[in-house]
Amino acid sequence: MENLIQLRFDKATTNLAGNRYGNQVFESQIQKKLDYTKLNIVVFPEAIEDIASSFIEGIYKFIGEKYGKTKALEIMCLQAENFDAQEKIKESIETFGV
Amino acid sequence: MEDAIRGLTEAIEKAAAGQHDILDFVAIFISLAAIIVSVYGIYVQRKLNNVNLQSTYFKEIFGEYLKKKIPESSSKLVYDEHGKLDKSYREISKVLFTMWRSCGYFKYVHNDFYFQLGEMIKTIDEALVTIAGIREPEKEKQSKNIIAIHQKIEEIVLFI
Repeated sequence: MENLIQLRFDKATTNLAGNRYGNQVFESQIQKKLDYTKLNIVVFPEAIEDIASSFIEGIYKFIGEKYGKTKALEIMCLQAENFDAQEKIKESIETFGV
Repeated sequence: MEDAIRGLTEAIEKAAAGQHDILDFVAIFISLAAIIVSVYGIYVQRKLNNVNLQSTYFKEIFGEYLKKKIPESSSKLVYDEHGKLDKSYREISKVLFTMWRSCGYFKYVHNDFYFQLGEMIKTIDEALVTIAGIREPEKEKQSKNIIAIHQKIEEIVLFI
């Protein structure tokens, strides 16, 4: 069972960076919608073309600290509609974890 | 070192049997000094071996990145006619990410170096993603942004 959480950003936003901003997006758009009985899939819209590793760390900060980094990836998975952004998420998590 | 230990044992045996003179004490002293020098020599040799091993790994892991991959990818850092950073900027992060993944050996032998390098790579990635997300029509500011990235890359190269 999956729980889809669609993220929304300002129209002009194409790139996401910064640990603090990632954490802020988690708090404002994800935290309350998380369902811990399901796999939560956080979806970045097509307009988002690139995501920095620092943003990914920030978005996972809360659940990583609370449940551990491995469990955090089981609770929440990031998915981008944009191919390049999806590749970057994959590579960033493979390299630095969350 | 074996000779030093044998000499020391003989001198101690003589001293214990009460057949000692001043020369026996000199022999004990010289033997002890020889043992200390030998042990220190072994320690220094081990350290040197370790340094040589690490420099071999440094060369093996980072050589190609420093000589070729990093300079090649960073030379593609340009703005297009719309004032956006050309998409080839992504190659820089990709190269640095791959380099960091391949230097896991240093996580165990040079923990501080390994994690500091990781932080430096994240900083460059963040700077690249940030400036690539902003349209910058002014040539002067474009140059400034590109120079700032090159400086960060230079810091990494010097750090390694």
